[in-house]
Amino acid sequence: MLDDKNFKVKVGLAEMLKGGVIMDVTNAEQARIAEDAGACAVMALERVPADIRAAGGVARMADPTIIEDIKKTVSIPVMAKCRIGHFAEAQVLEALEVDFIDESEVLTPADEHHHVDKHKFRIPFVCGCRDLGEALRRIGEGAALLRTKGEAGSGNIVEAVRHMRAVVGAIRRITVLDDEQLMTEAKNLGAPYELVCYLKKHGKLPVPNFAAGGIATPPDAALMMQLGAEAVFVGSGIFKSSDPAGRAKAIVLATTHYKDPKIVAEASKSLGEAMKGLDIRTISEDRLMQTR
Amino acid sequence: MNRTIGVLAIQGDFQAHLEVLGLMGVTGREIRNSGDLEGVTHLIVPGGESTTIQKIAQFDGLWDKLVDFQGPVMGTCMGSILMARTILSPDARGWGMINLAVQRNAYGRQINSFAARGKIAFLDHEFEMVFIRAPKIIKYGDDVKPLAWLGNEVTGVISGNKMALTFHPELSGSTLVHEYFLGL
Repeated sequence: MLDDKNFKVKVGLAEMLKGGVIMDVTNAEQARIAEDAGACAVMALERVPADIRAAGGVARMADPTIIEDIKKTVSIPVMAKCRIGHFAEAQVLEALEVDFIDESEVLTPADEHHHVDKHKFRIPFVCGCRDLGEALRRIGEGAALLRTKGEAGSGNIVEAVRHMRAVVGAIRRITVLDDEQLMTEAKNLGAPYELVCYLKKHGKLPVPNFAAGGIATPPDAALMMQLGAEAVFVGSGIFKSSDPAGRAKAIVLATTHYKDPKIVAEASKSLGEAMKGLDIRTISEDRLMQTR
Repeated sequence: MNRTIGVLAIQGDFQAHLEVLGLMGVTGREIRNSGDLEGVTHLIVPGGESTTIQKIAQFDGLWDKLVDFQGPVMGTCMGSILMARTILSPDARGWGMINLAVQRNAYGRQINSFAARGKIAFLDHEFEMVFIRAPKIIKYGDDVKPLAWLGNEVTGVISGNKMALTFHPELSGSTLVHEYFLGL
């Protein structure tokens, strides 16, 4: 699978997004602001996660009109979300020729037991993960890119940090295992054996791993990059802040220059109010998106 | 000769280039600001989003230093766009390192991305070329020589010590193109 030519082309686009910021946008005007700020891609959706959380009800794939408007407006890649397991929404997104599909826990799951068989599609998929087992299962299903789930729409980085540390820590652990231990490790992780062997050999995932779910400030982005993220998704953090254009630019700059605190400091100046955010402990279990 | 290989690391698949250099036993330097460019002899400009790079590279005068870079440069995909004199759809100004006109996303969106075997002037066998939302070379000047082809289509050119490729040799698991570049 990993040597397959089509898979290589899918992972190729994920490689191109590294070091960049992918921003949630709900209309053509926001897409323009994101592109002007230096976003490397946009995620087209009807509502940002914070508003989905507030609105309740069933959250579904965006109206194709919104997606087409955004595609016409920007020259950077356009992503869109489908519900977990909703392969018909994914088929629609492929027919609309979006550049990447996010099978996302931000939308209400359509199937509580199965994800989309992503090998069947020519468009690459990104999926969220909280730990290595989840990451490897998604790759096994054909995901060409992973991201932490974090807790979308919370404006709180704590869950993304937890998930990134879990994945990176578990990879590190596998690199020091004996070959005899790999099958048991695969069993314990609930992950494909071949991918566990790949990790032992290469010390890294066969697809890029980005951060998402709670990034609201330039240092949030720099933190995730230093923890091992190769790019960041920003959802509600930009268009729920008081100065979206300024904040978008600042997060882009902090993501490129994550190793240089002086530049991150400069980028953080006078940005106005960040999104308000939520203490994760105040979100009841049934309203968490990451457990989907 | 003392070589220092810089890879523009503002955004894009710079890691893939660094890994290919690593296979050759060469440690590349990540270039994010103008200071990083100090002492660099060879510059690699990776794939990525040219609109993004155009914005971030203005930050501390890096853009102007890149335009003035005198040593060998290899641009892949987006890199070939930035090196060009003329950029189409949307129209923009490149560095003008090569007398070249390129059209962005000329094959279409990601669904039209592909990998296929093509020919490279300095190799006696075919080479796998990965095209990701790739540009096309529309026109090149008399001082520019074609270097790579997919069928009859020119997918790479060279002019002096500047080479521009519309595909991604860094994604093919081969060091051959990078070896050629380091010989420039």
